Amino acid sequence: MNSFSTIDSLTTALVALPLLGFLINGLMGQRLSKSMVGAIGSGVVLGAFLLSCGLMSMYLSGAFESHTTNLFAWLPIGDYTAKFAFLVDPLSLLMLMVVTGVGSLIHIYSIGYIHEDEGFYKFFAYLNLFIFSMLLLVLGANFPMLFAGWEGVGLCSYLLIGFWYKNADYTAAAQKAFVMNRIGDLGFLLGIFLVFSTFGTLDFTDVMNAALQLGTDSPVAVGITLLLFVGAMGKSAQLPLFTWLPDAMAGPTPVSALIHAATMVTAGLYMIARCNVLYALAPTTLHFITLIAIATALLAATIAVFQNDIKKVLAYSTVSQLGYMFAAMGMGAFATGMFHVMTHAFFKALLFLGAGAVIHALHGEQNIGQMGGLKNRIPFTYKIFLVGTLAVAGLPPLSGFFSKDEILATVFAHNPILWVLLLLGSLLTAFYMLRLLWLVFYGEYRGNHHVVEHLHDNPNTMNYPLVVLAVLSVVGGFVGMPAFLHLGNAFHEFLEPVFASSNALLPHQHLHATTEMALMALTVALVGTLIYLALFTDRLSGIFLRSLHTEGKNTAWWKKLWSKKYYVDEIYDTLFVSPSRMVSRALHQVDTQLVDGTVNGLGHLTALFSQMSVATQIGKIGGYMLLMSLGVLGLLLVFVLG
Amino acid sequence: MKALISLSALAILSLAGEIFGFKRQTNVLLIIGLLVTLVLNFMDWNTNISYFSNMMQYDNFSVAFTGAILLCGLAVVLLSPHFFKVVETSESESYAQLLFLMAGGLLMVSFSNLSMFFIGIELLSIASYILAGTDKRNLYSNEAALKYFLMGAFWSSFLLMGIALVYAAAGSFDLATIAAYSTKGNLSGYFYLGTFFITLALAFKVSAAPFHFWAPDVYDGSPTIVTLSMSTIVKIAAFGAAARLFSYALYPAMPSMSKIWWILTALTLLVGSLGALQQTSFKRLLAYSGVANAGYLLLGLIAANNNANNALLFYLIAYSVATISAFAVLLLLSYKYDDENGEHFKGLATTSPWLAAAVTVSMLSLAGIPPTAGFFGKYYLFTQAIAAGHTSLVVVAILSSIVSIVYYFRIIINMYIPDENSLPTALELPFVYKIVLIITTITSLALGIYPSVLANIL
Repeated sequence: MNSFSTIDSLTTALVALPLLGFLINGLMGQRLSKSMVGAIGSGVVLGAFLLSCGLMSMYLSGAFESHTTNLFAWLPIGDYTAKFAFLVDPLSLLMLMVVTGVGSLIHIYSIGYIHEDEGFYKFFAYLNLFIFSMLLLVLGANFPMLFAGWEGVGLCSYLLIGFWYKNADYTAAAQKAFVMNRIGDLGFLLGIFLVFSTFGTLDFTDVMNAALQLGTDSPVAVGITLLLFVGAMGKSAQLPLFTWLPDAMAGPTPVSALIHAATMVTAGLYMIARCNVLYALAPTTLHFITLIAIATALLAATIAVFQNDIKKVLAYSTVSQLGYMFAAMGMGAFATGMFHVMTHAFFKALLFLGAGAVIHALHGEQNIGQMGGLKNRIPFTYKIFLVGTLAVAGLPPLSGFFSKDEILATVFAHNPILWVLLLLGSLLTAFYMLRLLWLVFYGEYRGNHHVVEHLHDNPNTMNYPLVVLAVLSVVGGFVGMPAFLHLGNAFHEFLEPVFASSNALLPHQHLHATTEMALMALTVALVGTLIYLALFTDRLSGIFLRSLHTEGKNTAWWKKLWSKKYYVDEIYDTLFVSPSRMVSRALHQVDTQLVDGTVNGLGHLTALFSQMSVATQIGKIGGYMLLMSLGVLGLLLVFVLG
Repeated sequence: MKALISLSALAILSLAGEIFGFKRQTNVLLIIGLLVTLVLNFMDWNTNISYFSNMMQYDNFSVAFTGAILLCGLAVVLLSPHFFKVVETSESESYAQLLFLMAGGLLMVSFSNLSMFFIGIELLSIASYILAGTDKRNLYSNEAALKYFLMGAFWSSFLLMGIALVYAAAGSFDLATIAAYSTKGNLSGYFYLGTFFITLALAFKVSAAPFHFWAPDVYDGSPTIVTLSMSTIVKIAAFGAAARLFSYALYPAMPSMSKIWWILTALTLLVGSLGALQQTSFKRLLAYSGVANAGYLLLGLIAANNNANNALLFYLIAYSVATISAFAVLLLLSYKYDDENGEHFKGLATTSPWLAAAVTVSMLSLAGIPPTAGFFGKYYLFTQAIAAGHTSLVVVAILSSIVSIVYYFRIIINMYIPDENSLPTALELPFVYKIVLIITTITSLALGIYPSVLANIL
């Protein structure tokens, strides 16, 4: 290892800070004051953010292009030794900025949000541990590091979903998330094994260089990428492993914002972007990803239309948006996918925190059937929510518009039919978000009047982060201008070094500027009409109000299907959960009867032998002498005869 | 050699203390003296000089085992003053006996002549007979001394018989000459029979079954501090002597003895662990645990080579260190309750958490759970036994250690379950006990994390 450079020390400190915060809050948090815990918890992440900014500015000033920090030899496997090493390149820098930036905002927000909870210090300890694991994930220079971070964030997700562990439903949701992720992890691990057996190394740079020798669509590349994608399906909630994410909303809202919207769920996308060369070599996998992604995007969007829990709507929206990102990945447009990862992190975190503000103001009410007309009572939260809604709906020039438009344009260039599907999805997105906005803030208040009398906006520690996120949601898209404007796409240029070799491998269809403009105009017009109808006229209010009620005989079959989430949970229960429970009960019987019986029997037998052996301890010298002499005789016989 | 002279001088000094009236200072003098002796001992490292016309050979084996004996002796001396406040006896005379016992142990690990070996073993034995009876007004102590003496005398005759037979075959007491004779091949029957008797006599000394009957009674009846010396110093000396004898001179006879070894080892392992299972007295439990541990150590004798001796040394140190911890806490409890019942450990963790932690480490080490020294001790011994082709014995040893987990963990569990009968306040912990416990606990953990420090020193 060469001498420790500035980049090395910055990177190491960056990762070490959240770990330090976790240790302090986890070990001593109980004895520290709440403001201390909050300051440490947020301070370390903010510090990590500042260090990320430092790294970023070093990169932009050309101090390095891609840098590996080797700390120590970690896992020796045969001839290969996985190092504990960090890889800093544009892709990890982007993720660093998002994770620590959005992360520190959410930490600050949490100080106010979770303040009354007795598990305050535990919450911050878990959040810090999460950030630490996430940093391992995005900075790891090899698959084992990525996997360690991957499992670490999974653990934190589990701990935080079940944060209010006294509620049995919440712990069940935590378990569901964990188990479903294990299924994905199995695929992911098998993928890593296959990488190792194919290339004999697990370092990203070496694997990607070696992969270039494989040739397009070799079975190994397809196998590896498919297996790795199974991992991504679990972590990033794609069909068929998406049902855990809506349930994960049981966790405190900042957790939903940080882990289950902005950062952890994008780990699958990061992984694919990291392995872009492998994926570019496996077009079959890319087609598969596209299909899964578009199906997920549409499925989740339709479900979101009839959800009545404010966080569930947002959760399904997240699943659907993740589908959009994967669709871009499936087209080989890795940078476009990552662009949506970034803008989505801004506006979805904003929306979740806004939803948290609503819930907090209403003392825990999450059912939008019990809300309405809050626009003038919590005006600040309303404005925040409005910005988020318009951003996710894709109204120009908000950030969501740029990234989503880029995805739509890419898809159109590949396949206009898929474009129609995704456009439908976008309209659904705009519709369910407007429905949510309208039902919460417009019309008449439908809930308990006792609550509404004391209604007011939240304290400032909760509001400042929202303002920052709102600004980012508005301007965040400007780094990635559409191609036809010829302003240069800063985002693509930034990520270019990472995707250079895969871009060379993949065919790229470019849209004619007029086509792109026409498509964009169509999308904007449709979305704009919806917004106009929903917010400026009262035309949609009836539909919105009726959508709250999906029970009863007269409900159309498709409404029922959507509001019941296509019965996916029920199907999984019948197909997997109940049979495993039955097997488990049967095994439990085997365990209690056969295994325990055998073990206890052995125990009793041992006790019996023990009594026998102690029984020879008669306490008389003569007796001992006799026994010992017999022993000598016996051994002598063995010695002479044997 | 310097260590032996210094140790004998210290023994005489203790006796003089009784006569010239500086008994109060004896303890401090001995601590300083033993530390000096330790330094003198390790100055002999890598010198390999023979003394008294080849009666003794002070090689690295001797230095290492002597070091272990001296350290255990130091621990006993440190823990003694508080014990002698409770037990009415002559303090400096007891120290003198302890030092003579250690001197005997030193001879046993550095002899190169069978006559010197016999002198060493007798010096050690006679001192331990007397020590067993130190608590003069206690009937059990007297009983222990008498039992030990009578049975010991009986077995000394076996030892002499064996030595005589080996002499008859090889024509010399000198280890090198015996080795030269025995490697020639075409050995006389006397040689085998002599080895057989010597083996049995040593089996008695290390409390191997079926010659272990004395051990539970003597360990239990002796004053606790003496039991500690017996289960550490005597054990190191006896196994050191056996290892030296077999690996230096008698190893050609080992193959023909393999069935005997198998029976002795398996029986010792089983009797020790099964016996310990029934005990309610912690002291008696440790006595049986001593028997079981002798079984593991026997595994290290079979291979009779240098690597096995190293494994043996490692295990002896790991076992002694854990035993010293356990006895130190047992002594503390016995000052409080006047008996050695294992029930007194109940709820110890609530009032004396650090003490409970020390006992936990000690029990984990005795049970052979990582990351403690005991784990690697067992691991090295098992490896040696497998290398020597005794896989079946290792299976028995593993079964025995599974059983042992029950009684070691019973103590740990008892300590961590709050109990209404437990002491309302923390157990009084004198300064020296604190020092000893800290050192033994850290050693147990350190050897469990960096076993390589001691793994290849011979």
